[in-house]
Amino acid sequence: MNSRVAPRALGRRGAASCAALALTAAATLIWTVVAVAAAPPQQDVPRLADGHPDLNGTWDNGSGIDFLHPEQLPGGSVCVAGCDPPPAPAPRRTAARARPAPNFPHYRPQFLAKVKYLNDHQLKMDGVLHCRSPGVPRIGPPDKIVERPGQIVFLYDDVSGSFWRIIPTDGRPHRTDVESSTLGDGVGHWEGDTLVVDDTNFSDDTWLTDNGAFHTSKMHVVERLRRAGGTLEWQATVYDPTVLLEPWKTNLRIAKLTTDELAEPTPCVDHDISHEVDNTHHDNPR
Amino acid sequence: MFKSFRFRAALAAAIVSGASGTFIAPIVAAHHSVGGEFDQHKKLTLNGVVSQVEWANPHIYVHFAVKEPSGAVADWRLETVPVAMMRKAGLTKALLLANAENATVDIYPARDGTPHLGYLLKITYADGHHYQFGADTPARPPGAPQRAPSSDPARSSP
Repeated sequence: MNSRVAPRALGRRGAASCAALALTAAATLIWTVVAVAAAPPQQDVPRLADGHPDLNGTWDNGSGIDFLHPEQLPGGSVCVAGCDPPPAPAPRRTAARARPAPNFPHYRPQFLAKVKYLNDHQLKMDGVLHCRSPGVPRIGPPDKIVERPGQIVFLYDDVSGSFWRIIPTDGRPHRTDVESSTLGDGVGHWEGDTLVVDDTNFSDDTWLTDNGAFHTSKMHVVERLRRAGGTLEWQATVYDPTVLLEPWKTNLRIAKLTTDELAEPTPCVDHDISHEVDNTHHDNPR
Repeated sequence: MFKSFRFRAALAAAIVSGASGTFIAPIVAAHHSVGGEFDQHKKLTLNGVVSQVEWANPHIYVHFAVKEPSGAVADWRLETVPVAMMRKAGLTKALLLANAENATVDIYPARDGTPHLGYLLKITYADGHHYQFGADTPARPPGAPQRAPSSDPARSSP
């Protein structure tokens, strides 16, 4: 189907089909949300003394480089990247081969120009490219979790640096004695086996994702973490109605429990941006 | 600091091989566009000594000491992959620095003309083993149209 077909050209049958598709998608989304929220206690999840799932451990979320497959070669040689032979010239992309549309927030019309401007000037405007905090939710799932009664600690080993968050789970409210920040102020509670982290008090100097996806300081984020066997599911929902038409969900991220320990924090020092001769940039995987 | 290094005769001048062709290499990097900073149509090959490794994000930098025809020693700063990629490949700072003398590197030079700045595609040590960080594709045939520099195929949102 030609994706460029104008809606009016679809006709009544087409419109009905679209409506049915939309209803199906909405029903699927609602079913998924309800299913996750009301999921019964899992049998294959280790638990702490308080009965909650044991989220302790180091969780490998791929660091955004799942696509990388280094090859160990004879004689001690290693191919880190560019190992495959050069691809044949690619045919023109068809709709079926096209890359799926990225998961991008839907902005109110009056803010689209700002998104475009930020995207056009990402090299200068995106703090992540200057070793600054990606913020919540762009930082993604934690790389390590330390869980204890009444408190959970998230540790992050990010390309922009190392970060930590202390999240109370003893029912206390959000703090009122701290300044706004890129990671916000999180408080957690359990909904069944799902850890729900409610985040407020954000600064407005981070993006939700690539390509100019700004937010305001009034942003509210809800993270949901659920352990399934040796994996950890993480997804966040962003509420920022001042600029967004609707709440925005991040991609579902799945991390694997690993025995590897986090390494010493690596400094982030940018030497590159000042040498860029044009404004090209690529997606920044996370 | 490079006065402390012992340079062998083979460290002599840089061998520039890029003049004969244009190279397009799909490079994986984690931050900015490689093609925005480095000339992916011009590959250089240098002989020298791996003198230092800056183990940092968003990109590790390998310093490569090259003796120029004038006798001066140039400190080439060669950008390469982020720490996470290097770790995933099992490479360490110590491995990069081992057997450091009389090595050869393939690089893309900086587009803005900054001297002694490049992107490291491949480093080959004196005993023949090598570490590759970008594709080494054949030269563009004479007259073939140029393609835009490649970009990272991985797209993701948090």
